[in-house]
Amino acid sequence: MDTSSTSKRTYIIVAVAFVLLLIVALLMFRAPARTAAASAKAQELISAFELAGLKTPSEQQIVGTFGEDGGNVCKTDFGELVQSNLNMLLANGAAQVGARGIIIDAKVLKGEAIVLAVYCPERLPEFEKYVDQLKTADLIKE
Amino acid sequence: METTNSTMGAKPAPAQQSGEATKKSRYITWTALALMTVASVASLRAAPTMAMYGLSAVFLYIFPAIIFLLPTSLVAAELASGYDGGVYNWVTRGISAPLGFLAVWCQFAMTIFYYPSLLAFVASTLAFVINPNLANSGLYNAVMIIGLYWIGVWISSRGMEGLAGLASSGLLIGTLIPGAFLVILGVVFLFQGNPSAAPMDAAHILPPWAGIASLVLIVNNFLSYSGMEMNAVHVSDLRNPGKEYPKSMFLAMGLVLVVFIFPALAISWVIPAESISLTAGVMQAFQGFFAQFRIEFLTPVLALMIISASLAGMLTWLAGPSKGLLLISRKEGYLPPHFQKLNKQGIQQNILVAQGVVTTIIALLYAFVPDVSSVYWVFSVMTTQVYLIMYLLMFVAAVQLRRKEPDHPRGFRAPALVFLCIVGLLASAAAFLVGFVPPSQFGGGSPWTYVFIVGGGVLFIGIVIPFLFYYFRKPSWKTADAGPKE
Repeated sequence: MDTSSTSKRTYIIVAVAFVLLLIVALLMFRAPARTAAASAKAQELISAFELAGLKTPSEQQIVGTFGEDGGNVCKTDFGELVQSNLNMLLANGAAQVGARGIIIDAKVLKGEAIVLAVYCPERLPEFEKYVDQLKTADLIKE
Repeated sequence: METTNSTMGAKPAPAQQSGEATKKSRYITWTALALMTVASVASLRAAPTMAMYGLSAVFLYIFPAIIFLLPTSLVAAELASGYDGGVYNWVTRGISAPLGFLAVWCQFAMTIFYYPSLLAFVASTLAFVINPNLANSGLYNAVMIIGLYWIGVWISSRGMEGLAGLASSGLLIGTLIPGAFLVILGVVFLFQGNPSAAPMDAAHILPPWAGIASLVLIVNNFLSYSGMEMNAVHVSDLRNPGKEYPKSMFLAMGLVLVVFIFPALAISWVIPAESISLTAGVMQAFQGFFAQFRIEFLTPVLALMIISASLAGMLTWLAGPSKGLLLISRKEGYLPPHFQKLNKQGIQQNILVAQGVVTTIIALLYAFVPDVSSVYWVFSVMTTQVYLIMYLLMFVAAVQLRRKEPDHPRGFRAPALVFLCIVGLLASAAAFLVGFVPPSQFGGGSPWTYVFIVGGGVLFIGIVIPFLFYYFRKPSWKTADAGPKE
């Protein structure tokens, strides 16, 4: 078999795998329902952000992200592997091999804690325990 | 059998003599090489994190671009337009063969801990849209990391042409198209009369000065451009390397900047920094972005696109440093002949398989041993430090080669090369030093403990292991002509 036909077969196999995976993802993904209860919860979050002196996202954003129950933030078990992934994301601007930790801004984690406090307060202690271990600084201008 | 082409004046390799048709089918275009370079360096993965800095994100990418991306790219463009083989050959000719090996080892070692972390990111991104609880499952993470790595090896072993095509497609589908979509949505958001969530005035161009934390942020961002030189190892796969490689590098530089800056800005216009949520992964931030436009149902599509870009990046890293390691091992006898064997497509399959065994072990430790996963970020710090050693060597080699071989034909001569090398050298040294400052993840631990841990890791990965290879090398393991490689 020549190089071109080998490449063609590889493309086809990879493309089919991705299409199948996309179908599975589309079938399994549940976007939060935009209900009155979700809007009420969003207002609660906006008030909590304002009280903390943080900038607030729009209600539309909050409803479509957290719904009534907090969405994936509350569904994801904040265990070792999730924390490890978060550690890798609290990094510089590198997207590939150069990614490494920096000293992050405390405000970012404050917002995250408020989300948890409003939607799934039972998960807050675990998150706070994680945050308490981190060193932070003021790197984001108001 | 040697199957690597040389189109730059060196004696033709046996594969070149096997017929023009075979030779032509193995070329890759300069645009494909540019896209491979972008895929190795940039993706949307960092966009939500950098969006937190608002307009300062532009400074955080442009400043390092001037003092690190530009020197790295221009120097690599000159070296690759004159010498094939990539960093091993540049450092070997410019400084010495043992340091040439050290340089390519540093590039290769970088990837050892990179694959599990990249594939864990892929696993969590997929889990976000399928079942968020899977993100914390050791079994799921292990299967994903190991499975995807070996699929990558299988794809790589099928030849450079297919790999280049898939890497380019992955970048297009997973980074360029969704990146453009995010920017368009961001512009629409502003045109709708919404104020930008992040202030876009002159007072916000620079990040606030917070002492060492700001220094760490700015200098660590130099590493955003790590890997620009890596694909130079494929320069002999271009039809006219002297002319095409520099063109490919310039296109890659432009695209990398566009990919890094504009999507991050678009996100900062729409989502306030404080509400960019990352605990469930980067997809949480993208879902919030989409929710503003009531199109959050597209989150799985974006997730799959980002996954394709990450895997495209992985493919380029699989093909690059291992090829450099192969080339120098053939010349200097660093690896037993078994690892130097190529498959029918001319790919260093046995090196990839050996690396796969190591990756599998690391993936299993990462997935099932909490003590490993919780400190995994430290390994990334160590390997980025090791990678910076390669840059230091590359800049020294570039100056040396200009002095030693000023008349050697080069398709591109970098302007003010010595100045560029000094700037690049200082930038790399600064990034290396800042790598010893404990980041947030280290918490309140002693800075000296951190220096000891990172320093010990760098010493082991970057010095002890390559020294062992050097010590145990055998002349009988040389399988290539040790003469100078053009």
